[in-house]
Amino acid sequence: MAGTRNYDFLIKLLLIGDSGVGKSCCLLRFSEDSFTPSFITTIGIDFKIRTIELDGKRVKLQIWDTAGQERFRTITTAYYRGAMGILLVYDVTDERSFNNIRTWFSNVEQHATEGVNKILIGNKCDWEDRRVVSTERGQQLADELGIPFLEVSAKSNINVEKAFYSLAADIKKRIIDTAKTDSTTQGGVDVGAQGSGSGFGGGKCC
Amino acid sequence: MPRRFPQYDDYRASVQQIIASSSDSDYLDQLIPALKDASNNNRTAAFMQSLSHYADEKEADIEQIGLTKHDEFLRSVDQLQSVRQGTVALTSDILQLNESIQASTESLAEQKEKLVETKAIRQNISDATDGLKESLDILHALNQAHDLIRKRHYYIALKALDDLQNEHLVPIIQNKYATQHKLALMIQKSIPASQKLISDQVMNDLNTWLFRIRETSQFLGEVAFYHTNLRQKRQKDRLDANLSIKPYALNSAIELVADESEEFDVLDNDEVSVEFVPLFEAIHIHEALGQSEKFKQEYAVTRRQQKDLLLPSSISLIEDEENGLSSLLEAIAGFAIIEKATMRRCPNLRSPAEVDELWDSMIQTAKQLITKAMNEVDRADVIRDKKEIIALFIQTMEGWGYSVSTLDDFLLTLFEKYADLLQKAFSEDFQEIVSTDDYMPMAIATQEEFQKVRTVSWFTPDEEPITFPCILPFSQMYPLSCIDIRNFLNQFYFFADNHFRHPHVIDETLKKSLDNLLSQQVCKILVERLNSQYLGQIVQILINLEYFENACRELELLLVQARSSSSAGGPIVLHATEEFRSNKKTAEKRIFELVNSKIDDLVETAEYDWMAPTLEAEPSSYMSTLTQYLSNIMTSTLLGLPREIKELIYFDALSHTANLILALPLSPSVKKINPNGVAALAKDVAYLSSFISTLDNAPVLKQNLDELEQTVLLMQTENPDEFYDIGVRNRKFGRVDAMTGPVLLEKLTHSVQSPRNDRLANFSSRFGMK
Repeated sequence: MAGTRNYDFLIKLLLIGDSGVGKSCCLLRFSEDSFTPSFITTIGIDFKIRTIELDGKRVKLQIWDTAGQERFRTITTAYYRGAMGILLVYDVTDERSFNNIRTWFSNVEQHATEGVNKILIGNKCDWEDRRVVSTERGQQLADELGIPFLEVSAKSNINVEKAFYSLAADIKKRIIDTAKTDSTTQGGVDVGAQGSGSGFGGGKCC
Repeated sequence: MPRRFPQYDDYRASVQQIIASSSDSDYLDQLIPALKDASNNNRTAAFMQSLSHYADEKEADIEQIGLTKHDEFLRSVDQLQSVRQGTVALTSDILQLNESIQASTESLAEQKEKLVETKAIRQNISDATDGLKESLDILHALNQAHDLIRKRHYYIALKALDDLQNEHLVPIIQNKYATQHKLALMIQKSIPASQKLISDQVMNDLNTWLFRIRETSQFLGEVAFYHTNLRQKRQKDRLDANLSIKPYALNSAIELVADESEEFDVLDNDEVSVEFVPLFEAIHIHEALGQSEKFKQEYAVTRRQQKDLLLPSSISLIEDEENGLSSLLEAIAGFAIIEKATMRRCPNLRSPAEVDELWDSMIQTAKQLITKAMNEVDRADVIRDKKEIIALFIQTMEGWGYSVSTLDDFLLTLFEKYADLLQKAFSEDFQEIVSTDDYMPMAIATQEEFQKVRTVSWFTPDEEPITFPCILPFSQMYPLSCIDIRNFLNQFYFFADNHFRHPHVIDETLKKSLDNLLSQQVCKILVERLNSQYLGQIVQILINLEYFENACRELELLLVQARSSSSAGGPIVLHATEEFRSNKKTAEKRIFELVNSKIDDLVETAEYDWMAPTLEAEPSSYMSTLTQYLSNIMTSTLLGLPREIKELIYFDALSHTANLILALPLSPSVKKINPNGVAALAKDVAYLSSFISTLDNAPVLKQNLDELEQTVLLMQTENPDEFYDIGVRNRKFGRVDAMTGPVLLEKLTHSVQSPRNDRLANFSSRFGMK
């Protein structure tokens, strides 16, 4: 199987946040580098794949995009558990979406794997005229939650790559690199050369 | 002293006497008569003789005396000398006197001559006075005629001129010796000029009238339009009250009879009143002058010029001001109404051919003007407004007996433009609707809202929603488009309101336009959107297509019902119906494609360890993710799809999944597969199978796994030779591909490496989704 695989590691990410904050747009920007101005609501669940390179390794990102709407909550919550990293997205022009981050965060605490990597994303930062949530407030909340923070714009392509890359890097660091160290110390197994199926060299974390 | 003329027989005595006179005056007194006598009686010689004799005597005396008295003699000679001198002087005096008497006689003759002359002049003057008196009569008559002209009693003036001719001029002229012959001739010569003056005056009045008519024309047209408009309304009221008279249009006999009670004279009412008196007078006078033909020609020329004047070089259909269509048509209407009215009142003045010629020319020009102005119109409602005006014009003029077929045909051109603009406008609308749609099932908040959607959109749910808010299957583009379609239909039919003689064209064009809109705008845009990456959007497009297809079928029926009776029967088929229907398939395919690509993505994360040292306890992460994903999209993203399509998607997705999984062990990179590897695969296939069991229609869907399951079974079999036994193979491995079976069997190995202490081997399944 390893011979057909076109990646070294698989990382599963999850986008959550209020409806309309631009989760799908961020994902579209990241996965296809495009943007659609029309408002298309995600119904239920969707995912996109993009393989990136981190420290010389091909990392396949399977990014799950959830519907922000309340009525799909049952479906979307099920995806928390498998996620290795979660992007909590709000809209800097929408106070409510920012205030709801705490709720989203507590959902993560409740349903996601312990120690899952998180990042706070303030989208639509290009829209200064309409901004109601300052960068400082975003940073403050991130600090309070103890997670990284970035303001992005899917429309103007600001920081979108950076957000996904930094989250992926954090995850890689947390799971794979740690596991490698472990395995190295325990038996010197070279995961990359192993060729026997395991996508991640990783420690047991759950 | 008394003057006497003594007869001197012998001047001797008188000489004695004269000489004896005591004084000089005495002497002269004595002398003059004597002289006179002598002179008169030509006895001057005698007198002179007497005097000489006396002188001789005296000379003798003197001689004597001289001789005696010398001195005395001398003295006497002197005296004599002086007497002689006096005599000469006297003679010249007498001659002078004679001359002066003669002079006075000449002046008398002169005076007499003058007197005669004066008498002759007096005679002449009296003659002249008589002549003048006569002339004055003539001139008076003439003046009277001119006075009448001034007072605009043209006909009487004309008669007066006639009288003048007959009573005064002709008798005089016939009498060559009449004193006033010349004058009469002169006046006679001036008569045509006077008549011309009358004719000019009449023409002048007529021109003033024509000018006023020209000024009034437009207003007259306006009033006529207003009146026609009222008739339209009354007709409509009657139609509403009694549906049986529906087929009767304006200007039909029925309408005219029904409207009889409403008497209205366009030419004489509260608003406008057109007097024809000046025209009558002009005709009368010119008839009297024998110039009817000339007058008719002049009138025709004037009207033609007026016609040219009332037609502007360009009009605007957008601004309805001075150069608007209303003004133009009102002016034409007013002009043409006056023509007809003139023709009725004075049948000989205007020929129907002339009137029709002017009418045709005006209509042609109007058509050209409108056609030109139409280019700048970009709104359908403007065209419809113009059509209303033209219809009003047509109905008005038809009532006056004008041919309106050209205009009726022109309405077709207008309609084409209208249809064009409508389609353009609605194309834009549809584009807007389709591009701004959220591609989400439409949320309905209240019962009212629901009813509203239902009324506009040919949407008949199987069961009424009981609770609100509720969700409708289609997105909001559907009811919005339906509203637009209905508007579109109405706008088309509006054009036929009031007056349009080509209803079948509307039917035809409407069908074409609607079809075009539905297939080119709605359907095409939706199909273009199928390229979207968003499954939800494509699903919504498919559902919308389904509703649009239904709407199309309803529209086909609606068009049949709405079409005018004159059109041919038979069902109406919109191509759009088929477009929507067939593109549902396209959408379906696109959904399959997208779902399959997701399955590709997920199966690509399968991480089988075909030579696993240990037995895997759990199904693979990718498999649980895959089934969860399929299940989730079925209950969310694909929820709104019709059941049969959902089943098809499942069928297709599962078949695709099975093929992909089957390909995994077949991959050339997989060299060997040990029992643990086969067990892992079997576990996943069993997991998938049990997932399918939970679905509706499971028996059918399960067929997709037949090959995969039998292949796994083959890989697990104790006795691989069974595969090569046709009988057993057909029974147990009938679905296994004849080529793949041996390939897989070839890869199988029974040796299992001793389990390594590899804590990481199952990483991804542990961290993957379950």
